[in-house]
Amino acid sequence: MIRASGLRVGFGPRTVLHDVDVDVPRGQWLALVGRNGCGKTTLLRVMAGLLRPDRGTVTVDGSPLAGLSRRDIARRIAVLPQSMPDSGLTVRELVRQGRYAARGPLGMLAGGDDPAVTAALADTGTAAYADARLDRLSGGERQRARLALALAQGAPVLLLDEPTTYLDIHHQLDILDLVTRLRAERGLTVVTVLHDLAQAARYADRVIALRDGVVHADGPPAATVTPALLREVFTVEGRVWRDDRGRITCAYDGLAGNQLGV
Amino acid sequence: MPRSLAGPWALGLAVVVLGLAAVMVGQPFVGLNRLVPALLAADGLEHALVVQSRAPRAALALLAGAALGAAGHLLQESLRNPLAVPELLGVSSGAAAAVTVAVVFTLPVPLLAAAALGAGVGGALTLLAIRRAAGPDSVLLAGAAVSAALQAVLLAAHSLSDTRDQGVLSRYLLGSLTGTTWTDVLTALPIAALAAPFAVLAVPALRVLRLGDEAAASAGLRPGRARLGVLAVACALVASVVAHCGPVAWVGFLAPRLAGGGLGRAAACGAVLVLGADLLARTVLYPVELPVGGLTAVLAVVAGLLTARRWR
Repeated sequence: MIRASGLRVGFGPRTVLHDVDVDVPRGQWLALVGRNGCGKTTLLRVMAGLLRPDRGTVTVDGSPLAGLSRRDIARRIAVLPQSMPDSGLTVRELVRQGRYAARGPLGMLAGGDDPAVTAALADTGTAAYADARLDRLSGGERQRARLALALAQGAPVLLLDEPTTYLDIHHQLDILDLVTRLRAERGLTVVTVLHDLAQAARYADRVIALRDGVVHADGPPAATVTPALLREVFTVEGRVWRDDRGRITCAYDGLAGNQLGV
Repeated sequence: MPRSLAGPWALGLAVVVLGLAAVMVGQPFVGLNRLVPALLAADGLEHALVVQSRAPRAALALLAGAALGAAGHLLQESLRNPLAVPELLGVSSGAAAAVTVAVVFTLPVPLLAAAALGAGVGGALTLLAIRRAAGPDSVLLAGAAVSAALQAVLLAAHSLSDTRDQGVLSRYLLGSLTGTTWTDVLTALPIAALAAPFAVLAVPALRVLRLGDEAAASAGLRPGRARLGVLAVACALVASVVAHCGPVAWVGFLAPRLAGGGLGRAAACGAVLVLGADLLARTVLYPVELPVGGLTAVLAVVAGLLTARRWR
């Protein structure tokens, strides 16, 4: 569905991604993991067409992003950025902006909700507080509203950059459960940057670990989330096992290769 | 968005009342009962005063206020900064600099042409400088840099000026509507009218820009390009009036603030402000006229302090 091949991205003298290849089939949930600064967000931004790679191409459903207009891309790929400024908008106004790509500036002037907005509000459970201003909501409600914005674009591919950061454990699970349900209902292809390895293993079909801009491990969670990955990618000593429900669980014993935490 | 101080009906009413007052008030006072006869008369003092002097002045006040208010709204929204004022576009400082140079060196060009040329060059310089700006903040900085450069030209030329030139120069430094004719209105109107539909078209893009550049781009908008387009429209709006009446200081800052959101309201608030301020400017110290820009600047300070707590 979305495929990146031979991606190379550098910021000045620093190379952030070296020859990264990722092919995400339709309907898959891919989790990107790795240390801060390893290139996860950069990869997500390149896949979203928000950043032009120095080398390599990204195609969505067979069409290269380089040949598509910004609006065409937005109809195919929706992105939830890590953070958004205070927009002063209500939830409904926020979600309406997701229709810009579909309706265009003239269509947006007409105002009003189309079915995609109503559905996005209903499906994310934000309809109840649709007319509340975003800055009056809790972090969990706000994140649901942002997800509704991405959903309103009606794109088959959803890219989420750290959707659970800043959320308590209840709202982390709430958002991930919501994405799970929406993916099933709408047949979405999902790519998320996640920091919690156990969550990545539990929710995603596939995990890619990046280290220094290179794909270090790629495969189903059971094969990728291992003590070796903790050591090699995160420089952390730890244990990985299945709990009594068969879910992958991680315990972190300390930093590898030095005295700290031992 | 902060709430507005006045609803659309109140704003419309204020425009009508102040517009009427602008053609009635003065020496001599032309009452409502004499207004229609004065308009219909073939000649006479009241006819000349109302039709040739007060009416074009009121019309330009309305147009200038609306254009500056709308331009201020476009700027503040597209840069998400309450201090993004039309003065930062380099348009008014370009006009002022060109006029000052023309006056001081007694260049053989009509002042209006010099002002229009300066406004165009100033705006174009700013747009060129911000073409590659990375975000709202660098746009603001680039705009401020171009404005500062033009101000420097202006001050350098101004230091060579004669006291006799002060009247002309203060018009383009502070803004004034003294001596407005129908020619002024009729040359300003087409440019403003041409820019107006583009300003309306920019409204949806401004909404999307509120999400921040990253989310705006993922919603299908090119933030840099959209911002450049919006600023070009703002430049055209400012340029349409600044060549005739100068910058009318701080209207572009104040009007969107008082309006509390919305392009139309910002334009209406601008019209009310300039109409009201000009009425004061030509009556409080009669027969001496104050530059309207001086009054709007004072009003901006007062209103700015009063409403500062409401703003975010």
